[in-house]
Amino acid sequence: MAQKELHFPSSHPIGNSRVPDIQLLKDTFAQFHGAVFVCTHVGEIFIVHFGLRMDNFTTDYSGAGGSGKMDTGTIMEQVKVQIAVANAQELLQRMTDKCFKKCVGKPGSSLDNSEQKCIAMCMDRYMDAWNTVSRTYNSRLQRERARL
Amino acid sequence: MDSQGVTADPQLQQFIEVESQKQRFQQLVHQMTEVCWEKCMDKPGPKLDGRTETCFVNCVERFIDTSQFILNRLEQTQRSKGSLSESMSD
Repeated sequence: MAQKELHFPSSHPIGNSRVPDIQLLKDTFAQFHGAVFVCTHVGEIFIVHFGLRMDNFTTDYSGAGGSGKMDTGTIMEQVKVQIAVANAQELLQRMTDKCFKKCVGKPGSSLDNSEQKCIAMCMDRYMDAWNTVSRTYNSRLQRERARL
Repeated sequence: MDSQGVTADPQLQQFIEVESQKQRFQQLVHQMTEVCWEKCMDKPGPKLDGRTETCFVNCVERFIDTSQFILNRLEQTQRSKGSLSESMSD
């Protein structure tokens, strides 16, 4: 089941595409100074891994450096983007942790072929697991709500 | 900037509530995926087989059941024994 890991508003050009336009992503995130983009293909999902400096999470939303009243819509869009980024980072962090544990034994001087193959499979399975959990939890919530 | 204006904005308020709820959901999914991975996944294969998938589904359901069980029992314990701090100082 394909699921977009980064949420962009559907009004945004990226919103409905499955293959990210890297330049467009870079433009969209230009405000995150020092962002590093690593594109990973996991099953049907393209995940863009952002390396952000921590101080970027206190980004000045006004853009022009506190010029005055902020547009509510702009704030909402920027917050949604930051939330999506945070979620992608969390997913990648946990996935890295699990797949390192499963696939890398005694660490050598490099990742050998079998380790790399294992990690690749592990990533796909972790995404499958994540999607299964998400679906199941969602159904359960709906069932609980229907009972009330 | 009128800070009163921002917090009084009902559109922003609702947005915050909706996004907070979505985030609570996402966080729990992250959490349960991690916990259930430990319980259900031995060696990652070329696909998620039926047995493993069933394990994940059961794991999520039982996790929620556990959470509800704990809340219910805590409520019962508090009702019968008075406050929890009383029973803990026994």
